[in-house]
Amino acid sequence: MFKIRRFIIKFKALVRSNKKLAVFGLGTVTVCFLALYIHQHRNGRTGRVDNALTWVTGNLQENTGFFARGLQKISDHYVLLVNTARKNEVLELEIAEAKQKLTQLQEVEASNRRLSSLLDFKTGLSMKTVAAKVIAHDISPDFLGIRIDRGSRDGLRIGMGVIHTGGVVGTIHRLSDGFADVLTLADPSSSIDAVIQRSRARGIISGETNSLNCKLKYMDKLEDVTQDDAVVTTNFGDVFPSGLLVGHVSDISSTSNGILQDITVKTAVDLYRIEEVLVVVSSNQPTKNNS
Amino acid sequence: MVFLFVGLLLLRTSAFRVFPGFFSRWDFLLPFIVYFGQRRPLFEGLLLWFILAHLYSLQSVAPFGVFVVYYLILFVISRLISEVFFATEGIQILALLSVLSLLSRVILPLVAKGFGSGWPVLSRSNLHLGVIFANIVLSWICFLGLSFVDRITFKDSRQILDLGEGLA
Repeated sequence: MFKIRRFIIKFKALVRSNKKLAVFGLGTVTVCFLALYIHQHRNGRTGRVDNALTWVTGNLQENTGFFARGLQKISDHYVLLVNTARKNEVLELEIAEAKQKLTQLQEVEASNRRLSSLLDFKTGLSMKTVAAKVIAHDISPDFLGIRIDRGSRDGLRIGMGVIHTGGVVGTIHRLSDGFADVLTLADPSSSIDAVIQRSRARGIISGETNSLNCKLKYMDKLEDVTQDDAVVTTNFGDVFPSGLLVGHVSDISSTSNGILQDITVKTAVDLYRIEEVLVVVSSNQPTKNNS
Repeated sequence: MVFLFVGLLLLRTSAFRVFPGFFSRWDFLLPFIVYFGQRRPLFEGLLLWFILAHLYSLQSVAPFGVFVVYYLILFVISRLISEVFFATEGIQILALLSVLSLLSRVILPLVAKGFGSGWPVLSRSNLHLGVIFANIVLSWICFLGLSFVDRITFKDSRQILDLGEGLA
């Protein structure tokens, strides 16, 4: 106790005697306000200096990533071969099942196409995309972003959707000439419009800190949601084509206010493992033919 | 020191799959900032804080400025602590890093909230004990590593420089 008091007295004396400290404090507050001001006015664009810094680090990351992938391949193909035979048997069974499902789906697709033409809808499969390689992951453990090797000179713009064969990845958050930072759907500041595929109940997908799971927010308690329900995108804002898989409902509970449901969604894409993505440059959707 | 940081940056962002999971949860700029606050003259510390925090910001999707402000606050706290308590021994450094690691879990969500992208301070995912413990241990090792780099490059610590000025 005595030590703490002595510490406080010493600290107070230091503040009184040291004018440098006051200037230091004032400088700190100024920097905080300046950072907030810059944040308000930048809107995801990078300046020349930042562009150059991103170019240098981006190229270094690209080459380090290549080296790391090589190391990982050695570890995967030569060191971790213990369970391969067993996995092979399981995979063969899964392939047989998948083939059967594929035949059924082809049948459904054929009937769907016929019905679509009957309803006079244009088949909107002409989604324009740009392929990109994931070269780096976010430096901070509290934010979930990825960096891709395509930038504004490849026609990318801030806010464009990023997808993978497994489902939705996120949206473009920051751009430089040759690289783009993608805000993944598991990041706390992301928000993607989504619906439950079965019941069409609508909500907003947003991430959690230190977790690869997402939350489906603003879902009324009366809405029909069950475990393992598929969550898909809507065409709201023309960011993603509708019907792309976001993930599956893994947990449902009631929020503290009792009005909404607290829904946890397991993302369809393993955000730590993806290596290639597609950027949706334009998501041409089926539009009603008025003619 | 900047090269050491860039090396860690590349390992963390591009080669993280090769390392164990806790490596990706480590706030690796924290020991650098605490070290600059404790052992470097004010101007040099501020310059290093700005360069590294800005470079760190560019590698993240966090709103621009979050990390610059967050690490500035940590730098100021570390600097103020150094005026009354100068950590030299291993256990003192460990105690200092434990306090600042815990404090960082409160400061970062609040700063991020100020920039429109925060999360609850008292959530389980924010105050995950395993992550905090790994953070403290890795930061401690890094801090000792930085002391070692200074020793082998014959860099005088701030205390020695201050003492020199006093004698003059």
